[in-house]
Amino acid sequence: MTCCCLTNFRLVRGGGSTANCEPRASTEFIIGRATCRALVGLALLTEAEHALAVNAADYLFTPTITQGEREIDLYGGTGSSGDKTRSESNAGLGFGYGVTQHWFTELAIEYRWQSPVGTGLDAFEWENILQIGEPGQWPVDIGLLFNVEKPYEASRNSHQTEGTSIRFGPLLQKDIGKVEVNFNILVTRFFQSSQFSSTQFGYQSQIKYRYGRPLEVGVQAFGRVSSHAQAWAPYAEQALRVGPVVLGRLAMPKERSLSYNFAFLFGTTAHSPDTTLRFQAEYEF
Amino acid sequence: MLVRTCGMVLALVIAAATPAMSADPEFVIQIKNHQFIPAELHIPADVKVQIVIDNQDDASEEFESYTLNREKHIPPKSKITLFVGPLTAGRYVYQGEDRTDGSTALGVIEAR
Repeated sequence: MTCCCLTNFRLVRGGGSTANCEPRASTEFIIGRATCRALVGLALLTEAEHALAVNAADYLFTPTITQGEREIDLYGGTGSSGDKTRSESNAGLGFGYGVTQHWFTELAIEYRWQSPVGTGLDAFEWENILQIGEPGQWPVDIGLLFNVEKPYEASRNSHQTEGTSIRFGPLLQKDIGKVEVNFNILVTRFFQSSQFSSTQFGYQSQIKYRYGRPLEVGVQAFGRVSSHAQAWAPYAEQALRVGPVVLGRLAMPKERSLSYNFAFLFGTTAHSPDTTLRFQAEYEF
Repeated sequence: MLVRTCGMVLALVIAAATPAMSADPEFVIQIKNHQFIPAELHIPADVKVQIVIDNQDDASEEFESYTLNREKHIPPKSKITLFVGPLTAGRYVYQGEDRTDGSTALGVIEAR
């Protein structure tokens, strides 16, 4: 079972912004506590305006499930800066299990590297995919995604800039001969977030040619139609990354296998990283 | 907004499910003693069919075919249904689970 995220985005956490803002008496210059708070608020707001990050570790969700299959899922990516984005790297490690013929679940932890915020544990994620019907039963194979994500900072202190979020939506797949087409519409609902629109929309898509099990090639796209303030923003304010992907599955002894996919994505808008290199490796056993 | 979105998703699922009401030709493959029976199944070309796989063994089995783009786990003493096609005329190989003794059940679906 392969499972990637909607263009996942969050505000950068403004960690040490308040550290140097204790009121300090001076004969020349006195910053009062209220002024300090106002400055911190302004700084955070300005930062938020420019820090609607795009997760470089996004991967494509697919609606098919194999019961009993366990997998260790390692995924990551690095995105360069763009006109209105900062360079950022993300990675995640998860354990997934096909509980039934129609339900796959995975728990993951995610890390983030972003300048100047630094490196750190980013979030905990619980991913669930429901396969609706059987592959080939209908003109389009259908699945449903339901994810819960809890930011790590939210667990640690009260200065978080976002809260728990859920992400859900239909996962669609169609086989046309040796070509497989995926298109997912994903809705992210943020709770406890006062920084940006609480409901965000995105999509992801892939077209691949099934040349052979160890090597397949295609094109991937990850898009976000929402901006910092609007659920449906003008195209120029959306994020869209498109590029080639190489995929495959390598058989190993004792019913084990290693699935991989690498993509090099190009941003098409000012709110997208100029380039993103992303990967996913799944050890299935 | 959230309710409307959920409604749209539900409507999409229902709309996609509607064609399932039509009956597709049905075929059966049994699994006995870690073998697919029949080992070669003939189905009509250019027609979507459903294949019931009846695992009569006490061990789980697998139906895996890259050319058919299907991979299903079949628990012991249970049945699953696969949908394949419409297939162009030809032979499509599938296999079962690798067993500890090194054997693997093999089968072919021939569309003609």
